[in-house]
Amino acid sequence: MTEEPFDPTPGGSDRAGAGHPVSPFSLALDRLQRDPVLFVPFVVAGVCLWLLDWIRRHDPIPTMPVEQNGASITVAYTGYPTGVPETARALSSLIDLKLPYLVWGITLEVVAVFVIAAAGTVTIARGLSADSGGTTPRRLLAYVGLVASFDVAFRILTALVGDAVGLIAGLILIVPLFVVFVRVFAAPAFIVSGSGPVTALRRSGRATRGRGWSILPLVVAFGLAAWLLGLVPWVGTILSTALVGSVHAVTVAVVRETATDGHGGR
Amino acid sequence: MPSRRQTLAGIGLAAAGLIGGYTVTAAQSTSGTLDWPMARYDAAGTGYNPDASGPKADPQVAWAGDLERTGGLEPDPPVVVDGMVYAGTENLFALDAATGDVLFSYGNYGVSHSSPACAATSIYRTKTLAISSPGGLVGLNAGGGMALFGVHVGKQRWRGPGTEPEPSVFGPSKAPPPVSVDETVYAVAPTTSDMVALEADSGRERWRRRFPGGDIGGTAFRPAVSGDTVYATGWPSDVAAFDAETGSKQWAESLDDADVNRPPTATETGVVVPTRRGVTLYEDSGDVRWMRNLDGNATEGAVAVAEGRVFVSDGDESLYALDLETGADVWSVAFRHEATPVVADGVVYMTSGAELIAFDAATGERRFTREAEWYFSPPAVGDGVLYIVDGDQVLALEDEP
Repeated sequence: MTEEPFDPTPGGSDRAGAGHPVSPFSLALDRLQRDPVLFVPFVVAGVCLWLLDWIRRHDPIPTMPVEQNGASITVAYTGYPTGVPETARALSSLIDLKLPYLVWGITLEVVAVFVIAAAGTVTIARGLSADSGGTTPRRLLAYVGLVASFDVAFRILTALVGDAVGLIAGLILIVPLFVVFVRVFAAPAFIVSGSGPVTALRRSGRATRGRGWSILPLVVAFGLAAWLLGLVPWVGTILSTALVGSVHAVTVAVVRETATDGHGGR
Repeated sequence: MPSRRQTLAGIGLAAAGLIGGYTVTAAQSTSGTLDWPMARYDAAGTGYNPDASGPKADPQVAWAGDLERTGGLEPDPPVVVDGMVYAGTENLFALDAATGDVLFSYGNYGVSHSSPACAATSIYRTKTLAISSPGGLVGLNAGGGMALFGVHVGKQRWRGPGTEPEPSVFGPSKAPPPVSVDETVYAVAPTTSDMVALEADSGRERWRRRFPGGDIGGTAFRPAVSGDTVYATGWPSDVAAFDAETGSKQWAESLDDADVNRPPTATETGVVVPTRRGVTLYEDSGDVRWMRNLDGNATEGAVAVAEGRVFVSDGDESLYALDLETGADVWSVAFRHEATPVVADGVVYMTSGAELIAFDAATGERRFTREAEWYFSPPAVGDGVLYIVDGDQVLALEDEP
């Protein structure tokens, strides 16, 4: 599904097929095959998110119902490697909580962000063959900043647009949204290799220039796969996080490496 | 990996940031108004607040609040909580009970959403309003939420059970309003005939019971809760009592020769069940205490119970005041409409389309009549004030000083 023709990748460390157009997806699979330890961080993250699901279901704060009306499909893509948890908490259900419950509710969300950020940072760092920096707290915090800003942007967009958007307006909105998704695709990898969030977004924009049509199917495929695996009863959170998170993270590393801007990680 | 201390520091910072923004919210001011927290006043559905009083003679408009759109032939009754009047047609508005100024409104829940029921909460600083909308039961923040970085958030707390209705040329059917007792909401799950009990904090289901008529396309009406029992009626013939805590069925009756088409009212003596032709009082055990055939033809509305009397319209010719203990007539007057009576301080308020009529509860004597510009909702009564929806307005009616 994602075996799209890929532009030649000048200057990259394309070990699997130098000189041939090879998709970042197959490069990523190849890397995961050779180094299965790359799966470990997102498996651990999946188990943590599964535990958070359980806690959310049993604490007194409302959770959002799982929207399963059978008639729609969802591309669960958020801009960084992650899975689809079975529960979610709307920002609006945290408003006007009494202080202890507010602190509790925020803590759960912050823990979820840190878990995903840690898994992303570790996996991408290991996936970057030329990476030398490892996972430092500074990189992790920058990654958390990126994840948090994506989440805030999404929540604000959702709050502004809400359910009121019609089919036509929705389709018009989707185009720029996916353009943004494609352009920021490699940003997590630039963060991990040392850039600040703003620089990482700028570098990602440059790195994905001219490769939009090969990255777009990845965005859609990861979003669809995360959603589909998330539907699996009981272990959907673990499955979608472990599989999609890992493959997505390594693909991001590959895209960043094979970019023309690939040498400028720092 | 980050150290535990760094992680905790990050969490602390994020929490401090949100709490900083959070304190901007103004606390809800409570004025001296009396609450009328749900349609028909209480979970029992009596339509009677012993502490309230409304206008007794020709009332004047103290204020008129704007609802932007008219609400069809049967607007939903307003509710009053902590100095705010909540009323709406398409959108639900919160108005200052003292001035009628619109303070904020809730998003579009469709014209067929119900009146809200206000429930207490242990985890929020503001109360929760439960409404039935075509897509499901919804829990709203009675305080209206807050503005966060220019975006208004926090109006809706949860979306509970219910399914999207099948498209119909008549539009979605109207769900009966939920009722609340402390931190529990009891309701008919929209587009089903299932009776559900929900936690008002989270919207989670405590229990769900398929109502007998649900299997044959029957309709369940607003439940009535008294003590440990939830009473429910459903067209065409069902009356049932469930344990409020567990949902287990206490008793169920099928009135095969009657037409059960209105909601019940719970009283200390038992549950009053109006039917098309008359009215029946069931004791807590499910035994019939008395049954009156009023030879009526009522299809809508409800009964009110106040000070040992049952106020019920037969939908055809008369408004009756019946003795709650025996079912005997206390008085009856000519009244040719279906209605949901409301009682306060010795006055029975009835609305029938474009008329508001006040009767003396002791004698049945007519106190006043007022014409609507559009159509009246059933009223809510406060401290000397009667709140009522008239088309695209909420009116506060008072006696002249």
